[in-house]
Amino acid sequence: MKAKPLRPGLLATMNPKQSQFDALVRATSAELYRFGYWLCGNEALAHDLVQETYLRAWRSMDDLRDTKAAKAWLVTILRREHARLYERKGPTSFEQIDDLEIADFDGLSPDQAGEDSVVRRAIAALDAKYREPLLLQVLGGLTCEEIASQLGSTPAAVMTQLFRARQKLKAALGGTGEEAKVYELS
Amino acid sequence: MNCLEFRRTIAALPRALDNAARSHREACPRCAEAHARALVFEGSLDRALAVPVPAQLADQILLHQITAERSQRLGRGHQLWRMAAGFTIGMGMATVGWLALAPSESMAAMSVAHLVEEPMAMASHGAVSMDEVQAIFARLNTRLPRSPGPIAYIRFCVIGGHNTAHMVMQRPSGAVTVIFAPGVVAAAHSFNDAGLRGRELAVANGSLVLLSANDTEFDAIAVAFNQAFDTTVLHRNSAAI
Ligand SMILES: [Zn+2]
Ligand SMILES: [Zn+2]
Repeated sequence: MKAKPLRPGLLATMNPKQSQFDALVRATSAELYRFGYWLCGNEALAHDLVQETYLRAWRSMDDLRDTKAAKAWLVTILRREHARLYERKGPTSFEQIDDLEIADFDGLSPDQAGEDSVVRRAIAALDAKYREPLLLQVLGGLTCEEIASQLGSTPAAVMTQLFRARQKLKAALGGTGEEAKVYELS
Repeated sequence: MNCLEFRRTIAALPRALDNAARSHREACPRCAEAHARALVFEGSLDRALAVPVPAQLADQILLHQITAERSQRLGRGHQLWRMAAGFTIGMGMATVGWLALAPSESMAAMSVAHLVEEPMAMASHGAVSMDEVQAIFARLNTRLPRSPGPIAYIRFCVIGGHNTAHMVMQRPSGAVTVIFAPGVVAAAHSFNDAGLRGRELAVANGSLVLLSANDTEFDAIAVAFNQAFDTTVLHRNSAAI
C-alpha cells in the first residue's frame, strides 16, 4: 500500500504532548537506533530496544524539561533498557556485521567502502569499555563530562578511553598514527 | 597549550576544540596537519557507524507507543465507549497516513482506536436504508448488491489513512461495530483487547473488522457480509471465518 502524507489540518489537532513526542521520535530515532545497534550488535534487537526506549520516554515525557537535553536523556533510557532486557544474556556477538550495507553508499569510492567495512569490524571488535564512550561521543553527541556521568566514571578516564578507542580503530586501518606515537611518549 | 597537549586533545576530542587548542592550531602547521588527518578519520568513523536504519522506523515507534498507550488505558477498566474522546483525538490523528504502511493487523488496532472517536455510534439505534448503505459503499468503489442485515449507523470514515465504511449493527447480544476497508489485505485473526472482542477477515476487495463486547454474532455477521457482497466471495472466504 502506498504511503499517504500526513494531513496538516489533522496534525494541528494532535494533542501537544503527542505532537511533541512525534517530533522527538522523527528527529532522534535514526541516531538512537544506530546507538542501539552498536550497543547490542543485532538489527532486530536494536529495533525492539529503540521501540521500548521511546515507550519509556513517552511515559516519562514530563521529566524532559529541556529539549536540547533530549538526546542525552534518550541515551540514558536506552542504556537502562539495554541493561534490563539484554545484558544478562551475556556479551553480544556482532554476527551480522559483514552483511551490513553502507547506509549512504552514493559518492563513496570502492576504497572508502572497503575502509568503512574495516572500521566497522574494528568497532565491533572493540571492548565494550572503549566502544561505549566512543558511541556516546560520536552518535550521542555527549561531552566528556556527560559521558563520565553516564558511565559513573571521571572525565579524565573517559578521555583515555576515547583516545584508546580511536587508537585501536586506526591500528585496524593499518596506520599506527602519529598522534598515537606522540601520546605514547607521555 | 603545547604540541603534546594539543595532540592529546585531538586524539580524544577532535571535533570540538576549545579556544586554547584552536589558537595552537593556528600557530602550529604540524599540529594543524595532524588535526586535518584526525578529521578525515572522524569522517570514516561517522560513515562506519551509519548503519542502515529500518524503513519507517519512526512510524513503527509511534505505532508501538500509541498501541501500548491505548491498551494501558483500556486496561484500567474503562469501557471503551464511555472513554472521553479527548485523548484519542491525538491518537487517531497521529496515525493518519503512516498506518497505510503498517501490516494489516493495524487496521484492527486502528479500528479499535477509531471507536472512541465516535462514542455515540455504538449507542445508535437508527435504521439506515439500503440506499444510504450503498451510497457509502459506492464512495469506496465497492458493490454491495444485497443487504447484510439491519444497519443502525453508517458513516464514511477515514481510519489510518484508509477510506472505510464505519457501521454499527444492533444484535441480540449487543452493538457490533463493523468496519469495511477496501484495499486492505488482512489475514483472518481474532483478538481480545481489554474485554473488547475483535475479528478481522478478508471480504470482497478488502478487510472487514468486527468489534463488540462479545463475539457471539461474529460468525453470522461475517457470513451475512460475504453473501451481501457476492456469492462467489462467500465460497472463497468461508473457510477463513
Ligand atoms: Zn603543535
Ligand atoms: Zn467512524
